[in-house]
Amino acid sequence: MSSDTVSGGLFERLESSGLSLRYVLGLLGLVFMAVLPLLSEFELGIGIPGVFVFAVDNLLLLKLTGALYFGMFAMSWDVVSGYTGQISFGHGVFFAVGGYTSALLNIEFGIAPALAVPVGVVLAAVTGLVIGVPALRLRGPYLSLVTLVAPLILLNVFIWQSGTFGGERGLLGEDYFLGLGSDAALEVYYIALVLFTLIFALLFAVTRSDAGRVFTAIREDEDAVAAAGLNPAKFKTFAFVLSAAVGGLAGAMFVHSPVGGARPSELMSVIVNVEVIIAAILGGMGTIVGAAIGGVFLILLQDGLSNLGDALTIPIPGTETGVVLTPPIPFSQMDFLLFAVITLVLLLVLPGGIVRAGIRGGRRVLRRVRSDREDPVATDGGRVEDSNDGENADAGRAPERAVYRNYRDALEGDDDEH
Amino acid sequence: MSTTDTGDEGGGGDNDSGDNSSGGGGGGDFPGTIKIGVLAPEPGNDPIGGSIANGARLAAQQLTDDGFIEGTSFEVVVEDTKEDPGTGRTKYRELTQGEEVHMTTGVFTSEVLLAIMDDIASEQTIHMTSGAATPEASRLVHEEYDTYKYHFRTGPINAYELGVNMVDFLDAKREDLGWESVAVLVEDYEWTGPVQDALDENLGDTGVEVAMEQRYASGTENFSPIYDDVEDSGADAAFIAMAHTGTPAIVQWARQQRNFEFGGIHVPMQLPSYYEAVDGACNYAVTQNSATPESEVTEKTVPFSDAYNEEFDSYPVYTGYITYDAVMQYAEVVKELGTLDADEVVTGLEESSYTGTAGTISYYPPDDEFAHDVVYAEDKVDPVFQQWQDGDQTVIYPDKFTTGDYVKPEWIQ
Repeated sequence: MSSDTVSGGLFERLESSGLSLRYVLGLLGLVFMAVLPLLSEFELGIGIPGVFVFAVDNLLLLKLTGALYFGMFAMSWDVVSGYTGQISFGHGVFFAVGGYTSALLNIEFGIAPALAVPVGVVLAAVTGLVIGVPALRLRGPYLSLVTLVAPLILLNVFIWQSGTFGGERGLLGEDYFLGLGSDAALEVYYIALVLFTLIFALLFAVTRSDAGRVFTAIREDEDAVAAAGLNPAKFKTFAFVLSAAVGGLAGAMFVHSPVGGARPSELMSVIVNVEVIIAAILGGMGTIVGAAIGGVFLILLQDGLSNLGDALTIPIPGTETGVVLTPPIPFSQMDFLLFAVITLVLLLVLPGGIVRAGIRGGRRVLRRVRSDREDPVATDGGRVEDSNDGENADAGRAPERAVYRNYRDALEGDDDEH
Repeated sequence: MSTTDTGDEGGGGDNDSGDNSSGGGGGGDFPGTIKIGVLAPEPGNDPIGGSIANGARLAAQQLTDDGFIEGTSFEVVVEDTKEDPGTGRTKYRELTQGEEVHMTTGVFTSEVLLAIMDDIASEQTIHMTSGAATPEASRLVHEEYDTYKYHFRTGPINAYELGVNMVDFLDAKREDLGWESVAVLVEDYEWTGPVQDALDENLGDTGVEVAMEQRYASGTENFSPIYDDVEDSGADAAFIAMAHTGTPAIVQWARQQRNFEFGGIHVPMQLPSYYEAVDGACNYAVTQNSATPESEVTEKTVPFSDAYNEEFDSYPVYTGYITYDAVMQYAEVVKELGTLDADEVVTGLEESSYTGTAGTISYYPPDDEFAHDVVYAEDKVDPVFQQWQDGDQTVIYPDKFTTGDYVKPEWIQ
């Protein structure tokens, strides 16, 4: 059989690194984000002129900064909702408590953001405890209802005490973190990226630890966890508080960046609360990686759609001309509609999220590459099972087990824990 | 959203590469194209946002066609703020950093304006507000002049002075109106805070009795209980400040033929097409307005609204007049100075007195508490009060602009 030496060599090298392919790709993604600012003068896009073209400049770096903070926020949601299955509809509360605390300390008492942010994180964690301890003894829809009401109460407190919290208008005049404003886009971007990476590493480690396995077990069968002698409420509270602290950190840093502000519309509106859920589910609920990617993707998608002009030119390959699409309503007026439709379609065709679909696609490619390289037929006429790689295990299994496994791949949350 | 219009259809725009080329007029150096960034809410649907965008487009087109600055065309880039502070901020940056516009204008929502104040300061690009009324912006200019001096409010008069203007109207017209006592009804939104302050401080001086005062909840849709209270109070009129809740309020007042008259600031009623939209429910009601299509506030008012109607097949609302004036005033100042340098233009605008479509526009000096807000005075910007009379926006105040007399609702004797 002819083997593709280039790709075969690449895959071998990747495999010999001891990391599975998806981790290598994840690292490459981070490295790409890190070197992105060096690519100024480049234009990144999806190949269709005028659509989703991003020129690497300060403007893009600032947009990515906002996206990274939203990605952190989505990861924090995933810890509690994706893993323990306790769906929180009001996660913006923690984003807001972190952001408002830090901004108020800075504006009212002149405390530098570097000191005010940690206080915001602590207060967000305390809020997590205050809401979490009573609420997490509730189950399913009752917990969701509590989390749904929490941001509404907070919003009404902000409006009631508008002299302190600025009401719907929010707060004005908070300082930038380390004094870095929009003219220092590069530094602002790197701070966000470093924080994003650290938070990601922390949450990744926690969810892959024993505690993470208990979280998942709670989602699957809380009674079984209790029967095993573990206290589910304790683990749920831990997940809730950790998630609240991380959400608070993202919110506090966001308001001191040049892309965010301490306003209900940016921190805790219904839209924000819904978007974070969409981001985590779209990326892949219960994976952390998925929430991180989903959060960044969602913000960039919205931005791209809001910049579609009134008409769209789709080029005909090989020619200089293209088809001009001019809808009866300009694209620019229906960006939210397009966003909703795109996310709905993505959720339907990629039921486990972008990350799981990517992993499945990657496995398929790997299998194909390997089957090109190796003779899958054993000398006795049976099929060889690749004992090194569980991914290929379906080959020797009964068809119904393969179907079951695919189904599990799509729906379960423990994908990254093999 | 971003839409770009070069106003060069009539010629004169053959030099739009953005390269420096020597300009005529003031003898200064101007680029081939002067780019104007416009921030407007939902410019495709919302008449307020649409008027902002189209007011700027018409100004750019006329400036280019007339060769106002020789060899230089004017181009407008419109971005949609969606009335959201976060979006407004992103879009402001796209205009200043991405499109590299020379000045920005527009912004209807006070929350959006306050969100971009710091960006205006760091970009050091002239911004001429043409919709948001919060005095918070001018307070920033006053308190930290060097940082925030790039902000000007071409209109409307700020929210506090909107309240003062209501009082001035009532004071001047109380006998014609026959309003000896009023019930003050103010919706509970950010913009009405300073309006309420101004009413509280000044209404007592007019001698008109305040029979009741209510700041009612944002989102109110049923006005029956409130109107019952107004009738019980014996007030001759409801003296109102409404924007978001205005339509149910006016429709219920007319349908129920309430036993009191109705006037003040009612933002939806400023729309020239409002009479048809509410099936005549606004008949006999009074609102403040920057200008109306027929009112000759200045010699430029009617020609502008006619040109606007010809170009866009509708009449502008107040934000259209103000945005048009902002672009025109900016163009005049830079032509005179011969430069686009923002610091010099700040000084130029501070010294400018420009006759626009909504009045003579000049700005309060830096040491005034309303620094860089448009001056509210009889011979400067002096908003009109109009009454809807059988489909016409009849101006009843100030006297020099009147096109008719106040008429009582037919069900009130």
